[in-house]
Amino acid sequence: MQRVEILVEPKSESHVGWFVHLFTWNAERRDLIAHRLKLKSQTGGKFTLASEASLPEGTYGLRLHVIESGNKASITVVTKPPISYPPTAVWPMTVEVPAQFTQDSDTWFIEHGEEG
Amino acid sequence: MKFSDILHAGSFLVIAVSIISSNQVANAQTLRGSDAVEEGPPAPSDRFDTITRGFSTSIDISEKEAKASASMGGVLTANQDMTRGDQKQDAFFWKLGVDVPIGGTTDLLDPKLDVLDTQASVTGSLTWKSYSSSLSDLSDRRFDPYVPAAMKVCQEQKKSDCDAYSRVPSSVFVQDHLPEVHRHLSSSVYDPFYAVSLKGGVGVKEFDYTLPGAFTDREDTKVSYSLAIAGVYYPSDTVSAWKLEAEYGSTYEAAEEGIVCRTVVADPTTDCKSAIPSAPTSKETLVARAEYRRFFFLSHVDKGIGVAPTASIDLLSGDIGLELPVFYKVGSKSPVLPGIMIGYTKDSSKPGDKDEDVTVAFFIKTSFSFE
Repeated sequence: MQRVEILVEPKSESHVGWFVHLFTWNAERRDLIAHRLKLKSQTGGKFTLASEASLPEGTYGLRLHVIESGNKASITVVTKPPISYPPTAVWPMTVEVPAQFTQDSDTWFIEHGEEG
Repeated sequence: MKFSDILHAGSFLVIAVSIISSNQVANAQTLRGSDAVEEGPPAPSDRFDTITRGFSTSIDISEKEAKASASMGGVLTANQDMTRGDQKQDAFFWKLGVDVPIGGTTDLLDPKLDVLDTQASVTGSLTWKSYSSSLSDLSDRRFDPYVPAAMKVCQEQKKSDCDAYSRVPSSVFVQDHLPEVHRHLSSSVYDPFYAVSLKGGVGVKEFDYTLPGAFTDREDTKVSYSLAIAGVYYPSDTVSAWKLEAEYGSTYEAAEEGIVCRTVVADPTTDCKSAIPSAPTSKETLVARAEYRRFFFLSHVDKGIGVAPTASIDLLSGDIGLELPVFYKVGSKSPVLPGIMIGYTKDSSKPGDKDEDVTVAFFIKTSFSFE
């Protein structure tokens, strides 16, 4: 059991125009549990979010949602756990909103508690 | 449409080509500084300038004038509510900008009826924005019917883990393998967001004229200003935006050019000339403006057509301006992004048979953007 800590590096260097979600997903029952994240620290335009509670080992979903054309942000789970989906993904997760769209997102699944 | 307008547009194209050949990052209508950190390459006219963070510079070259711009901005205050599923943010942004005309003159109305369009100006704005984000799509059954097709694409592309559909939400699997479908269903993924902006600008322009009779040249520097309030709505479809704006302007207008002569004309070639015969006159405007932006993707999300029609009317004078840029986005990495801009103005200060103008401009490299 440990907290999930996520380093966020937004292009704007501000806490505006991006969202990070950490959640548990049960494919069979389609249950969705969103885990509350809190801002742990902020240094030089980089932000560290941490789950409010220590979370048991297991598979967790991680979504980065970025708003506004041209806006961009990257996130890395500090412990760099294995990424179970998508299979070829490597840290960091980066989302940049193309000019023709107003918002974009990406969603990965990680194995919290395992060595990266 | 006048033939001269088309010819003018053609010459603009030549200018644009020569600029691009000298600068790889050049944009036929906008050359961006290397410090632009927030904004992507803007669409012509940079109208959705409510997005402002960092520092940016640009040179806009249109079919009638050229203008250098610099702006900087940032976040004034921001609030976050990171509750469980639904998160919200709202923030105030500030922006200061400078525009300097660097060439070209025209007596045509700006299709947006912007009173500071041809002036050296300083502008400031304060914008409030509200965003939200949720995970509602993860339980949305509308993605389920597309899972077999997504799996087929996955297998055709010989990607690994094509059976992940059984472990991850349908919306995630569809997003990774059928991005076009995911965009079409984006209203179940994303929330709309909003911006409200207050903007003020002060401009300076020098007017030259020649007094009839005395035949002396005069210069008169006039200060204009404008105040505007705008609201922008970005629907959850992620490919469109609506902007409504009201702008009050106080400016000066040059008189129509004519033949000016000395009191006594001995030799018309030396005692008369073509000039503006009187000082500029003040003019107030109250412009209502509406703009819609929409990107229509074709076979792939990176390829499509963007349109950004704008309609403006001056409620005091009856002037009308219409502008329709159409962009063709060939692909995400294409060096060529052609488009056409059609403008129409109806200038109520001109005689009835000369009050309408249509302009057409072609550009070969610029981007459609929602900024």
